[in-house]
Amino acid sequence: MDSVSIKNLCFSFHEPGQEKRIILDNANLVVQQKEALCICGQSGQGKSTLLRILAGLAQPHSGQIFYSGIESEAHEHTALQVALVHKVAFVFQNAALISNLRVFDNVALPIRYHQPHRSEASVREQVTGLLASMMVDDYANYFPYALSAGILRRVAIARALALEPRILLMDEPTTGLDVKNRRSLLALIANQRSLRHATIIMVTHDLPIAKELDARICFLHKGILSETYSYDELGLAHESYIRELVEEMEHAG
Amino acid sequence: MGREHKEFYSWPAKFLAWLGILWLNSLPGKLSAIIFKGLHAFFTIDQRRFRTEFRQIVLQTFFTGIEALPLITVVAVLLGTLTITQAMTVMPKVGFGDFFGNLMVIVIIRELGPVLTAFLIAGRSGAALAAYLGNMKVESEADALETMGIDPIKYLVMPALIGGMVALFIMNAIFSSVAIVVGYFAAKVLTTILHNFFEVQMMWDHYLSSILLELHPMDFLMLFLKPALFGALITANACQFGLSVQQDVREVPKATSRSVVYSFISVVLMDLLLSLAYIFDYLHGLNSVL
Repeated sequence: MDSVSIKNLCFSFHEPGQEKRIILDNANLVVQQKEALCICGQSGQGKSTLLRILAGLAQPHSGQIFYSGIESEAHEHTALQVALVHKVAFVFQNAALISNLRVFDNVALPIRYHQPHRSEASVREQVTGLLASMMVDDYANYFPYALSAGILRRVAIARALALEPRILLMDEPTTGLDVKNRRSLLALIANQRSLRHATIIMVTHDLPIAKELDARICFLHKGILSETYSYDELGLAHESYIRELVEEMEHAG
Repeated sequence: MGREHKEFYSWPAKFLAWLGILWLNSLPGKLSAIIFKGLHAFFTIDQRRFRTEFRQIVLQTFFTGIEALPLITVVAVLLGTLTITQAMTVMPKVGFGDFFGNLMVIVIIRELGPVLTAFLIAGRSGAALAAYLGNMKVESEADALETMGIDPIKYLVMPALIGGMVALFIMNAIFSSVAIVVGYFAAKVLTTILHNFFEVQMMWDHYLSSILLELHPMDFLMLFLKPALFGALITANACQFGLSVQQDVREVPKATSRSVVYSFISVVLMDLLLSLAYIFDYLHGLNSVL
């Protein structure tokens, strides 16, 4: 069954005095349940904007978005509705932890808010488990400003998993991490994916992620969303920009 | 996603909708929308979440008001001293030497107390709240709340709004009390030291009774109404300007200063509107006498 699908989605930026920038031009995409999808492309093509649209943080100008086969209507396509009704969680590139809350309270926040009937002991148990699964339980009492980017990303993932989402959207989760941190974060994501069976859609410049997560890959280029490929199929892609991009990424990697 | 506009509304409905949109796009419309949303969130708190929400409100009250207490006390001491000193140089000369208490009610309790407290809270706590919310927008923290299914109105605006209203009420009461008490002691010191210049007898009982006699029922109503409305306006301005920051850090200081300036203007305008109540009260009293 489809977990997320978009049909004929259009979105553009039009700032006064600037030329209209088309981000999505009749984009179509289908992501199956429990599948992982990497959205790749050059910088500035609108990959993060597509992710924000899927999270309800931005409104498409036209087109349809379905979560588990249910259409998200225009008037209710807000981040609140998408999170609550369709159980979609979002991991921001900068982690976006609440700055005046400690790591523990950041992860506990959605649980305490949405499950007020739960006892503090049970919340504590779940949060400690989540932090341990992301290997950041030692940092539970730290404020976000005192932590490195790698730790913050892990905490952000733990927070996103707190409400057991069906769909997890991640914006460049490995950017800026060293090799060791990147590898351990990917192993944790893969582990969480197999444990929780969530659909993962992530924006990345890091193509080998797709191989490590056994993910499909699609490319966004000049508003056009390509069809999806597995990592091994990339060499056979008929779009020349994909082959060039893959070569560049592999060369850089 | 069904974004086509359906043309089945009659023109009066369209006109009303246009007026509504015009109102909601104006600053007063945005402020009133924030206040109503915040109050709605307060009155519809999930009972199971009441403890957490109550804690948030108490924290916000503490931040908005109690932390500003030293500043407010200092200004109240200065204002009380200043008012009574100026009054002592003029009032006895024109035969009003017994009316210091009445003057303090008019100057401190009715006007300067609530307005100055509101200005101090707007400059200190309102600015801090606008900057905090603006930074939350820049750092995507406000977006993160929404992606967790947490309504920023309930989580951020409601505690700030209710906390602001409660804090302003407490601070106004403290400000007026301190100014009145300090005013009395300042006058007492002046009359003791410079008794050759000031032919005034300052007695606490007389001072207090003239204050109590000058207080009207309208003053007691305003004791609640003014701080509540001023507090709501200050937090609504801070929330409106803070949350309208896009993801550009340069907008934060602009939003902060706008929030303070518009808070000042809103408070003065609201004070002007509320002072009409005193005029109606006065005219009503005059009519009854006639």
